[in-house]
Amino acid sequence: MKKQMMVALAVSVMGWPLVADAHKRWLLPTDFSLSDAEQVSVDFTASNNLFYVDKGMPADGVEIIDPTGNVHAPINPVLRKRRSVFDVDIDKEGTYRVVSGGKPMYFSSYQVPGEEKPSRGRGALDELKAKIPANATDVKFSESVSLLETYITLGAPSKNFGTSGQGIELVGGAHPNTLYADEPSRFVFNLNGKPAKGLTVEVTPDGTRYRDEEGTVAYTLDGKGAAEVNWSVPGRYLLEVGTQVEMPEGSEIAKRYYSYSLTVEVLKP
Amino acid sequence: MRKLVGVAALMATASFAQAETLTVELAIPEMDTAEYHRPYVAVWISDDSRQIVEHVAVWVEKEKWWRDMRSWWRRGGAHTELPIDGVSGATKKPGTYTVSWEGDLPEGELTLNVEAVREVGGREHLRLPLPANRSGKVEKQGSKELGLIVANIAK
Repeated sequence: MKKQMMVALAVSVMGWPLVADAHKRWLLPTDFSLSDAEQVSVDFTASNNLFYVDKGMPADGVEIIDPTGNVHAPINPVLRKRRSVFDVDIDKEGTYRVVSGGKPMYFSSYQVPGEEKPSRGRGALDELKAKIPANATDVKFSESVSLLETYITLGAPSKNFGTSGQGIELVGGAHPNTLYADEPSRFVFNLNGKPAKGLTVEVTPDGTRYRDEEGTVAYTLDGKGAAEVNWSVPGRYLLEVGTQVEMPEGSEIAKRYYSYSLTVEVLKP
Repeated sequence: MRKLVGVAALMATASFAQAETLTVELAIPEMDTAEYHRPYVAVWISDDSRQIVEHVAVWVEKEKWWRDMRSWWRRGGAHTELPIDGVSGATKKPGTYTVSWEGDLPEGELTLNVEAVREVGGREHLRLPLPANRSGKVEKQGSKELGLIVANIAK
């Protein structure tokens, strides 16, 4: 339930209504590893089933960080009802990171006397504060940092992990483009720049539509924010980490939500 | 005991000084198929962490598809600049070929790898552990994309 709430909130960041569904959100490139410069297409969607497109997500906020650290915008983005897709030029040797989100978003909730339901808002914290009516009660603010990523490599892999220090980030361990089904892979996560110890990484293999269980395996991150993941089969996987932190009574921000998702490809040895 | 250690040390020194010769005979089978493309083939020696220590043969065409030799590409092919003199070349038609390699191999467990992948066909990756004393013959029969592989190593 915790997770459902978090995902619902994260989805609302992207302009989706605040409903209590548990859609996964993911970026899925046509290729993860290239030997020649090419354009790669990336699906960006929210769905229950992996990896079947269901609700196209707008690519406006997507950024592509090339191996030299330059930031590029998606090429030819197309947003349809069920599918959203954009292209990425992969023409430099090394590893590209495709990201959505990762920056703090704020939400407000308050009760206006006489209104049946509480009012809600989202946006920059200052703007939200300015919009609160003087007679409002139960004023609450929350913050969400939600990051979606995938990695694509041309030639030899290079290091291109996130370094914002905000929210949950993948910061070390195995290179996401060199994973093999018969080898455990170590992933290291930070939360706000410090090891994300005690959080859980949930690993789900592709093809949920054709089995009776989700097939998700959860690992608890150790003191270094690390977990060693065992793959069941070759294929594509979604890794998700999330948490929410209740702030002490009297804090301006009552609650902080953090979520992270990573799409990887695991090879047959 | 002391004597044994001495002998072992001497053997280690001796093996370090001697170059190894590896000869690999590999068969690309005939395929009964309407659309046939010659396979991309890579032959290499890997260490106990599966990383490439030596390339023996790389037969390829278009750069775009090099990565489809998934093991070779991600275990070290991606870090290598082609062409490699005496190692890389064009794809070959069905038949039996002999490739050889000469040089100093590192200590430790080594494996000879042969990987073949064919457009609109399949992929096969055979692994042949090399004898610890770096001398002798190992062979393995492929079942799909590769035929018989026979490797001879000598010092």
